[in-house]
Amino acid sequence: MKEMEKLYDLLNSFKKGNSDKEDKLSLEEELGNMEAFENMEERIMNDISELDAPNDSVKNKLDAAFAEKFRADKPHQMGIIPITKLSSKKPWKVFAYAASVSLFMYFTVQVGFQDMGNFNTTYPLLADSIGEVSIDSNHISVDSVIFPNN
Amino acid sequence: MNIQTEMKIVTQESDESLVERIGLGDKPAFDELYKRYNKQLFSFFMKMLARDREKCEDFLQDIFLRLFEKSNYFDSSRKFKPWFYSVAHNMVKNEYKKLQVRQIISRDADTENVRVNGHNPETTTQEKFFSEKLDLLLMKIDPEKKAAFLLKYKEGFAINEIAEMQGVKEGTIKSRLFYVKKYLSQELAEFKPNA
Repeated sequence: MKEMEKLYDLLNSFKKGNSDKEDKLSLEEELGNMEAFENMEERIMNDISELDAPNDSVKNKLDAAFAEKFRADKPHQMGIIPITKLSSKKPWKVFAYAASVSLFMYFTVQVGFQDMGNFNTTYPLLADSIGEVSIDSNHISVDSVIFPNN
Repeated sequence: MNIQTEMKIVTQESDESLVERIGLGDKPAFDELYKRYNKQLFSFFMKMLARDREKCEDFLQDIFLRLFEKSNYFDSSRKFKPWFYSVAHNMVKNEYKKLQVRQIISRDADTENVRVNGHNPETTTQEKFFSEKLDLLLMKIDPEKKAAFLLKYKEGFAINEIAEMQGVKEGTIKSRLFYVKKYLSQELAEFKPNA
């Protein structure tokens, strides 16, 4: 900021007529620099606008990395869309996806509990104890529990 | 949809839309974005990193790798180009912090006389001589000032965009530009049309 402040100060002094000889020379120099830049601006711009091209190997490596990245991602998805990617899907697709997941979960749970209704078996609880456990749709009962005596 | 039709659609898409597609593994979208920016970014790195070609190619590769590996971090409500260049600018800034570039600059500064004096003005075109001198001068400028100058005059960003990229006020950017312009005009005085 100091550079610009100096220029503003010089300009203000000049406008107010307070400039001494040294100030005027400084102002001339600053304005001369700006004029010099303007004279060379096109040349400088042309030079810095020239484009360098990278080696083709950069693109080849990127292509390989891209293929690797997205080939590696796909097997892990197993048909499950990551939540972060849902926002980029169309709303009707998100709805259809949610509906199919809900239906799948509903039927899985229903069928699972229906099977458990007829469940009646005996479980060995510990090596030295046997308990008879009955489970039906209303209650779970344990006939006896024998703990090891040692 | 055939490949030609798809390519035509991709070339008409905005940068922001291409980035979203890249995140989903869309290769033509990636190719198109690379085509749009590879030379621009590479030239930016070349100017910023003392024309170290190998390093600049590494940087270019790295920035595009980040693009498809972390495309989810891109906020699609923002403009892509300033965001991409702010990533490039930060990469360069970190590199300067490692002092590697300073080593290159000091090495090049030592050889400056050899390079400049080694050219016979009669056999070297004026433009080439000008270009080399400009490169050397840019190497000596403070990286933040140089980046501001290149982003403004090479890439055509607005002052407020550069200020956002560099995390400073607009006045600071104006001052940095003023400094570089003054420095260049003084150092390139021998090339003035009337000189």
